[in-house]
Amino acid sequence: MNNKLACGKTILTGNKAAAYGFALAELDVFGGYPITPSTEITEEMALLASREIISTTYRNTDSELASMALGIGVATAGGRYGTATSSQGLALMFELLHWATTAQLPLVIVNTNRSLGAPWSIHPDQTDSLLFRDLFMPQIYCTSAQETLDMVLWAYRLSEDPQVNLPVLVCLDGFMLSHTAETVVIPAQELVRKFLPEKRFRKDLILPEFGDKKIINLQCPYNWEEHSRRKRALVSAMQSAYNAIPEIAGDWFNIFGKDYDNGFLKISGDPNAKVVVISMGAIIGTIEEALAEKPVKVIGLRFFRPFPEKELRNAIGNASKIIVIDRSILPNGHGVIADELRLAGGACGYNGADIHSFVGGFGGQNFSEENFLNMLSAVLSEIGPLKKTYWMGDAP
Amino acid sequence: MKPKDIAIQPFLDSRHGLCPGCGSAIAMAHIQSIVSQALPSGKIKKIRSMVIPASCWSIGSGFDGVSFIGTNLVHTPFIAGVTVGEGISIMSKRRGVNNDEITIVWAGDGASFDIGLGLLSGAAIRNADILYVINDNQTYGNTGAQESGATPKGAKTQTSPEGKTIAQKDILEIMMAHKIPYYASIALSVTTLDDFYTKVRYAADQSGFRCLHLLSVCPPGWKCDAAKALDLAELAVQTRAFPLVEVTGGCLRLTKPKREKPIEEFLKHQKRFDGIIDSPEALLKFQKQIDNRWNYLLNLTRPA
Repeated sequence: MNNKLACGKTILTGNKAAAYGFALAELDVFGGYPITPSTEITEEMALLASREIISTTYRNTDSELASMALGIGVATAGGRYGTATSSQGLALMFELLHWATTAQLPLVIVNTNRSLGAPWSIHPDQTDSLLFRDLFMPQIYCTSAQETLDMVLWAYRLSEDPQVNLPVLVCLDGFMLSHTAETVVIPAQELVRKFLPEKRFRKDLILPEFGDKKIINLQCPYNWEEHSRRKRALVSAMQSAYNAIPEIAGDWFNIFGKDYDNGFLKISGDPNAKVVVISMGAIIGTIEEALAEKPVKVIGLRFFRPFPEKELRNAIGNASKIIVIDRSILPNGHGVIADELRLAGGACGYNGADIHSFVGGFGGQNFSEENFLNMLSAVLSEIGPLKKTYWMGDAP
Repeated sequence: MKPKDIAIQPFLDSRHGLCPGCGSAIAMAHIQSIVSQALPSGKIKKIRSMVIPASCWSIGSGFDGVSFIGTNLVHTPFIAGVTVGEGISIMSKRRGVNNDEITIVWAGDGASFDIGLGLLSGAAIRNADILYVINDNQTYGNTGAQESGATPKGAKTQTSPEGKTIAQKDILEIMMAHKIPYYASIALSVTTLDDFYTKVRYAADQSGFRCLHLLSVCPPGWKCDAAKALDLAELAVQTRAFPLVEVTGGCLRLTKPKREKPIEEFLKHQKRFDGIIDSPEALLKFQKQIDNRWNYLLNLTRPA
């Protein structure tokens, strides 16, 4: 059955854009379970499937655990699967998410970012998805509704790359992006099929096709050599994902004409600036606007996993100050991106540049343009980073 | 078709890791043999896969990618088996081969009564097209016999050393509440063989959510003689400790044992029940529970 999805220019919220990404990916099965703020994705998929606008089998599951279990089953049988969740839901999936990554089952989860409790909060920070940074699972962060739609399709391309075969997580900030309507161009299904062909199978990782006499035992215990080989294969799958991303970005440009550069980063501002600002997600747009007249370069991480070390090194260049804005906090007092940068580039940061780490955005703390301007002047007036982390809104 | 007409095929490789006398091992070989023959409707179904949530079968059914049970195996985390099976069966339907192949989920009592109950409920109410076997040995066998929701009240386990103090969960009524197309309890023994074969064949022939509640004798968990597995399955039925029921279309049918025996005939071969056997009072109470349960089920068989 062919999709009867209308294409062309329209206005969509981030959540609906994600749903249209799923719809265009022509899934076999979508597993739905509601959680704020991702619910609209699930509702839209239920609507599109039950009105037979798409031929996807939609199931209301009984928990996020069940929606992940369903995905493991569908992917094990060679089907294309998607689901959407947020925060507590993603956390509940953890055991099965780890299982799906280590079983190398391709599927896509859209996570509408929301603070992970306690305490209760439906506001967006990135503590939910970043908790999963140790999984063998590429993570994409979107800055606009259009990018959200596009990245869902990228996610399937990457997930089903025969050298990758991993679940992929697509993140969009709750409310800021999920509930904000923007102009979006829904691409034509024929073009999407050129970009994302029918699912390709790695036969050793899934059930044999109907009629195949081969008998397989998936995820049984192995001797230590094979078990180690599987662990190494995961590392190389992540490396393959790293290598595949520029190629995906190139294909996207060739088919749709939209330039995502090498895919990893969204870079704007003064190319020769001595100050770079690094962050991730929907606040990138606000940062860009706030600092538009300043001599800074703004770098948004589109991919957090695999962590784009090489691309960051190039983008940071000879900058002398690096400002990192995180909406997450670790037990060592670092924001997650700042921590990754310090780990990857040494304690002094890339190329000797100092890292000025800012964290905040918890429990609904809003960042205004003024916050970013204050942040910049505080950094510029300092010789080196005096504290390891500044909390947004505190007097530096 | 009589049981003798169904040759037990060599489904179970001798390398399997199940214990001597394991009731589940022999039932696995029988069920696979029955399902793989022509079914009452004449259909022949291929077992697409046996889905195994954490259990003795996780480590006993194969190694290094080799299946010791003659069919495809899909291992899953403890909680997830039933829904993984549902996902596989949805893909059979989407490929148009759902009448030609069957997905079996083989889950223990822990996975069904306890940790996986929520997901089991979800898959059952969605009428997932799977054959769900509750491999019930009344204990967490793989971890060395700890108390589960299926452990009978009074039985000793590693985590109830003085005997279980709370009730056994009623999985029959839980499943009945989901209005599934078919539910049957089965026990593999010489005198229950016809019943066993008829129910398994019928279940395999249907579509939708079919549940077989299999009593699996567990010699290490029940602390009984490994050679007694078949006898104990028979005694469980004859003493009404494990009533044989069948539920189709919401109607319950109860099979009266041919030769009835007092409960102590079942209990006395198992050290897990020695606290009951040693106390006439406890034994009387246990017998009373069995009788009450039987009468309760008998009532359910009568039209309202």
